[in-house]
Amino acid sequence: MNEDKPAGSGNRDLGLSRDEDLCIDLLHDLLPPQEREALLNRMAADCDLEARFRRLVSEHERLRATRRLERLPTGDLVVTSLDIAPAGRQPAWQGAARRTSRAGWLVRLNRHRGLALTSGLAAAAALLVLTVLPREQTPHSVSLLRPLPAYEEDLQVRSAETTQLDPELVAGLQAYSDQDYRDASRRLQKARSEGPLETVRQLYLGSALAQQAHWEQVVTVLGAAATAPLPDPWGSEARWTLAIALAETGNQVRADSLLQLLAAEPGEVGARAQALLDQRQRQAP
Amino acid sequence: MAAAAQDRTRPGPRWPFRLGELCARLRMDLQPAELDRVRGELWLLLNTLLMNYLRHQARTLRPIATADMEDIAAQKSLDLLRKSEQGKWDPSGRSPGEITNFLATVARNGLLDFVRKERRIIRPDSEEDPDWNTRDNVSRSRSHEGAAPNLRVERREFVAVLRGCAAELQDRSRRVWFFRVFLEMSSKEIALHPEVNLKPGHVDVILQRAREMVRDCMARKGYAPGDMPPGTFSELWRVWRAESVTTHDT
Repeated sequence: MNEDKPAGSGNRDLGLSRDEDLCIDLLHDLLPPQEREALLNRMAADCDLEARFRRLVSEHERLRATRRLERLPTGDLVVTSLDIAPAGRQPAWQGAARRTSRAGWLVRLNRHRGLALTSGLAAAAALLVLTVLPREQTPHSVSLLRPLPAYEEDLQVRSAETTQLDPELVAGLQAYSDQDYRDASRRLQKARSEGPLETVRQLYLGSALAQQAHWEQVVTVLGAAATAPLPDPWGSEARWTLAIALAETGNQVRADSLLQLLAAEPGEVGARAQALLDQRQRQAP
Repeated sequence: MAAAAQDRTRPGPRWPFRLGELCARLRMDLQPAELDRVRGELWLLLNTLLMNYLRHQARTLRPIATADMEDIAAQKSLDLLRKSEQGKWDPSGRSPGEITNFLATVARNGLLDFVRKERRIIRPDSEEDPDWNTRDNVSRSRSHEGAAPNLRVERREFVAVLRGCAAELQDRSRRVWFFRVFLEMSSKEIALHPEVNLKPGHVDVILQRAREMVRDCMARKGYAPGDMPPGTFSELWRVWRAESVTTHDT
């Protein structure tokens, strides 16, 4: 039943079987149709072989789900690992999003904005890093960004609290949620808001512009908002987006300062920033 | 492409040739989107290969957790990808034997480095398939064809009914259901999968509805989930993988 004979590949000495090679070929769609059908037919009649292949498929899909191969603005490749462990090992931004009422953070934001904004900017200014991020315009920078969470639920809460809610703001956030970033940025630029909702508008507008690689505008919009003491994921993602935009627009020193701040934070964005800094340090002359 | 077609006529594994093709393509002047696609395919293939070599080496040298093997495989794959892009590693033109020996050595070194650094040795998981790489065990493979002559017909009937029931699900729901039922992926893993991209809570809701729908549909046709015969996975994979490839190509 099993055709586990050496196939001249030279790997038999290492204990790998022909079936294993065939399963790898099948998984990666490398078999001609006839051989594929023959293997699948054999697999359907052989529980062990099927179990092996099933495990291979499972590992493959888990890998696709939990790790991302990404290219940094420097042109370097990194693998981002998305932590899927339960409870305490969640990515910081995911955990925070679940633990914190999104309407609630707006209130806290309002209360502590002045103090933390000052301290955040002071810390950013204090951390001047001498290493310079080589500027390299690349469309891949957009792939490094993460969309912000949808905001409809929070708007429902806000609409109950606020008498006036600009329809453009609602439509802009909805467009963002639908990943229509062009429409989102157009509407959010027209929208009128104040107080905490103005910060929301700026964050989503900045993110929508970044998704379209409008880096100069991103720096303008997020320049102040991203350094405010926002809860995660909004805060860390906004700072990450701003760092990418700064690098893309040639503001390397400011980008480095921000990355250093991010790298000191726990969570997935911190790891992202650290990976970027590590990569550049390896490249430094 | 002609070389690739020629390679496919050779006996033995195809993946060493594909590996060589992909590495050679990396150094061509490709459009960014195509370059990303080649990188992605190469990285996934390297991961698959290194995981298999690591599993084998871990049994021979030191048993380590699957999660640690995944970390090693991911890092080593990335290293090889970088080296290939920089022209420091080029498997094209090498024989399959040379490539497999090289990858086995990479896996072995990765494993030894890990053991030295972590000093963490655990007992192998008894639920892991112990027969994967050993030729001796192949002869012990169980053939359910021989044990039950009618099983093939029953399986085909069952799979046909199951496919019909699953076809009533929306594409994403069917994918979620398949990932959980056949690949045993967690809700969080499914949620993060690029073909799903949902929140875990949403995955749970979809999964519950999908299971109910499939169970009810199967029951109406006289089947229960416990009836699922061996061979169901490979039959379904054949169909859905083809659908998935078609979807991605369009």
